[in-house]
Amino acid sequence: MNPDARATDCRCSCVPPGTCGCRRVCPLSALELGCCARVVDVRGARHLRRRLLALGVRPSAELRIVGRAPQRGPLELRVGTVHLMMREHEAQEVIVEFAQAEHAAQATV
Amino acid sequence: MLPKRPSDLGGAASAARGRGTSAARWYLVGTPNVGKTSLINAVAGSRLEVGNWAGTTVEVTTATASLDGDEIVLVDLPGAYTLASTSPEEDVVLPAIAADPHGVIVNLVDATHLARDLTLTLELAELGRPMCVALNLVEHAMASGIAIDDAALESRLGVPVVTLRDHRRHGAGSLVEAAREARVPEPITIYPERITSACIGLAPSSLTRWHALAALADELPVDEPAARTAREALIADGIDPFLAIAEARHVTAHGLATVATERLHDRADPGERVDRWLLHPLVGPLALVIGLALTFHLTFALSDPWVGLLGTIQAVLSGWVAALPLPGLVTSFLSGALIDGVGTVVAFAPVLFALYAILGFLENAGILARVAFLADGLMKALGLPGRAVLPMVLALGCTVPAVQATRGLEQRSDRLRVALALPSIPCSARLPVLVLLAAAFVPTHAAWVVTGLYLLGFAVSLASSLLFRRLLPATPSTGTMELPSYRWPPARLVLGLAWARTRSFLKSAGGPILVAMVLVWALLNVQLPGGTSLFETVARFLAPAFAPLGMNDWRIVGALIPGAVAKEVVLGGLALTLVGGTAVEPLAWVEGLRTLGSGVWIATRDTLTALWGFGGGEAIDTGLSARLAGVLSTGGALALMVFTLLYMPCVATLTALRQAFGTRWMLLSAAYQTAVAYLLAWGVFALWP
Repeated sequence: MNPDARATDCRCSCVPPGTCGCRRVCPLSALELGCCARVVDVRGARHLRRRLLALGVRPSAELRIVGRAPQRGPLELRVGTVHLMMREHEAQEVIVEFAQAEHAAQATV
Repeated sequence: MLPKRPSDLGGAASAARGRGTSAARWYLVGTPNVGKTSLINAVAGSRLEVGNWAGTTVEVTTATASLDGDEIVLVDLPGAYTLASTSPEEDVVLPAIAADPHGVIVNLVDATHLARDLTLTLELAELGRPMCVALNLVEHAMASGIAIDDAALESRLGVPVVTLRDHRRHGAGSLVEAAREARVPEPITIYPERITSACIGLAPSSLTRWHALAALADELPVDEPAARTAREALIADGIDPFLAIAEARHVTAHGLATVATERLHDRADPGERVDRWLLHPLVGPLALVIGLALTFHLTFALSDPWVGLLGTIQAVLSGWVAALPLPGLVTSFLSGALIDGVGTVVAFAPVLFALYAILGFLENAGILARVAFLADGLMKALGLPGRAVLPMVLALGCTVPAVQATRGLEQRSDRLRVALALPSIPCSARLPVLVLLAAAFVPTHAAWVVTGLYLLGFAVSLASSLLFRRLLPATPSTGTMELPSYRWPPARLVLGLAWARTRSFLKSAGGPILVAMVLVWALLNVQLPGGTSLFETVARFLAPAFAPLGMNDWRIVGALIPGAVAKEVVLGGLALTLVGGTAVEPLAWVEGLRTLGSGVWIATRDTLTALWGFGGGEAIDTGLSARLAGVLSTGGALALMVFTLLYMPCVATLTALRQAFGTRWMLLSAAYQTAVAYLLAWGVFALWP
C-alpha cells in the first residue's frame, strides 16, 4: 500500500503521516505490513461481525499485520494468540487506531 | 434455535443410540483444530464412525469406547468458535446438545489460545447442562512458555478441569473421572446491569440463560417480539447488546485466562518462521503447485498397484468360477455381475483411501488453511472461495473425495455450487478412455487433444460454478479464517480417519454400484425373442438421439451405458460391443494361487518403487482402435470424447452427492451434466470441418 493512500484513509492528514503524534484511526485494510494497531470498532454485516468477534477481532484487541497473499489476496494477521487470514474488503470494516511510535518500531522488524 | 428431535441426529450417532444401550454420551465441544478427533481416536482406537449429520454437509465422527468398564459413546461435534451460528458446522452443535438431555458436555480447550477458547466455555456454562473442561495441547503451550494452573480454573469455573497430557500413551483415565463428576456450572460471566435485567424479563420464555442472551443479541433464527422490544430499548440507550454481551464474555474469559496462566518465558511460535516461507508471495505459490503435484502423483503411484492387484484377484476368481461345473448363465452372472460388481466397488478403495489420507493430513496439519490463503486471490478472480482449490485438485483423482472435501468451504451454498461444478473436471477414470480415443483418431496430436479436453473440463467446471452462483440463493460467507498452528497429526489419526471415511463411502455406494452392475449384466444377457439382446435393442433405440453428435452407430452409444457405473468401463463397453466379449478361461486352483501370489508381490514392489520414481504408463493394447475407425469419423470421435468427459457422473459420485446434498441435487447434477455434455459434443461435431 503506498503511503499516500494511507494518509487519505486516515482521518489525520499531517504530512508525512504521523508526525503530529495524534491518535491515528484508519481501516485495517489501510495498514502497512508489519503494523501494530488496536481495534476501535467492528462494522459490517452481522455474520461478519459475529465471526470477527468470535475469532478475537473485537474492540480493544491488539493486532499485527504479518503478511499478504499474492494477487491482492487476503491479509495475514495476528490478534493476541490467534493467527488469521482476512479478505481485504472485510478488513475495511475493522477500524483501528495506532500509535506512531509503535508503528515505526514494528515496521522496522 | 429449535432443538431437533433425537431421530434427526446424524446417521452414525443414531446408529450408536439404536443399539439400545444406555451408554453415557459425551459431546465433545471445542474450537476447530483443538484436537477433538485426535482425542476420540486415541480413546476409542480405530472404532471411528464417520457420517454426515442428517440433512447437512457437516461430518460428525462418533466412537464407542469402554472406559474403566463403562460403555461410552463419544460424539465429536464439529469445531465451533461460538454457539451462535456463523457456519453450517456451528449450526449443528447447539441442536445436538439440546436433543440429548442426558449427555455430558466435554469442553476441549486449546491451552495455546486459552482466553479465546474460554469464551466458548462461558457460553456452554450458560446452557445449564453438566459439563467438564479438558485442557488440550498443553505441551504446545509449555513449548511457547505458558503454564496453566488447572486447579485455579476449576475453582473459578465450578466444573471439573483436567489437563490432557499425552493421552495417546496414558489413555483417558483423568478425563473419565472428570466426565463422571461433571457438574452444572453457576453462571460466571458478569454482564452489565442493563443486560442482566433485560434477560430476567426474557427468562421465562427462553430455554436457558444462553438463549435469553442470544435472543437479546438477535442471534436466534426467530426474533421474538419481547426480545426485540428489550433490544430496542437498550439500543436507544446506546448499548448494543450484541457487542456488550460479547465484550462481557471476553473480559471474563480474559480474566480467567490471566489468573490461570503463568508466563514462564517468551518464545515465538516456531510455525511463524515456517509461515514466513510458505506464505511468502513468491515462494508460497511455487510450494503450493509443487505440493499439489507431488500429492497427486503419490496418490496414484501408491494406489495404482493395489487397483491392479484387485484386477488380478477378480480375474483369478472369475477363472475359478469358470472351472466350476455350472450352467453358462450362472457362471456368467457370477463372474460378470457379482465378481466384477464387487470388484468395481472395492477398486474404489485404494484411490479413496489414499486421497482421504492426504485430505486428513492436510486438514489436521493446518496446511489446508494455508492452501486457502495462497489460492484465495486467484480463486476470487474466478468467483470461487480460496478453499475450493482443494476439491478441484482432488477431483482430478476422483470426484468422490472431492465432493467430500467441499466441507472445507464455509457455507452450504458454496459447497453445493462447487460440488455441482466438480463432475466436469476429468477424473483419473476418464483419462484412459480419452487417451485411447485420441491415440486412435488423432495419433499425431493425441497429447494436445487430451490436454485440450482437460482444459475444456476445467472451463466447463468454472462456468458451472459461476452459473450456479447466479441460480443458488447465496448465504453470505466470510473470508476470515483462522490459520491454525502447524501440527504433525499422528499417523494413527490420519489413517484411522481415512479408513473410516472409505468404509462409510463403500457402505453407502456399494449397494448402488452393485445394483448398477447387475442391471448392466442383465441388459447384456437378456435375449429378446428374435435373437437380439436387450442391450442392443436399448442401444439401437437411443442411437438416433446421438446422430447429431456423429455417433450414429448403436455400438458406440451402447458402450456409454455401462460407463454410468464407472467412467473407465466405457472402454470395456467399447471392447465388448466392437471386438466382442472374450470367454473367461477356466483356471486351476494352484495356478490361480500362484497368480495371486505374484500379484501381491508386484503390487508391493510397485508401491515401493513408486516412492522414488515415476512409473511409465501401461500401453493399452487390443484391436479396438482399428475397429473404432470403422464406425466413427474423427469429428464423431471428438464428440464421443467430449461426451465421455462430461456426461452423467458415475454412480459413486452420484451417491456422494446424494449423501451430501440430497436426492434432488443428485438428479439435477446428472441431468445438468448430460445436457452440457450433449450440447458441447454436438457443438464440437458441428464445428469439425
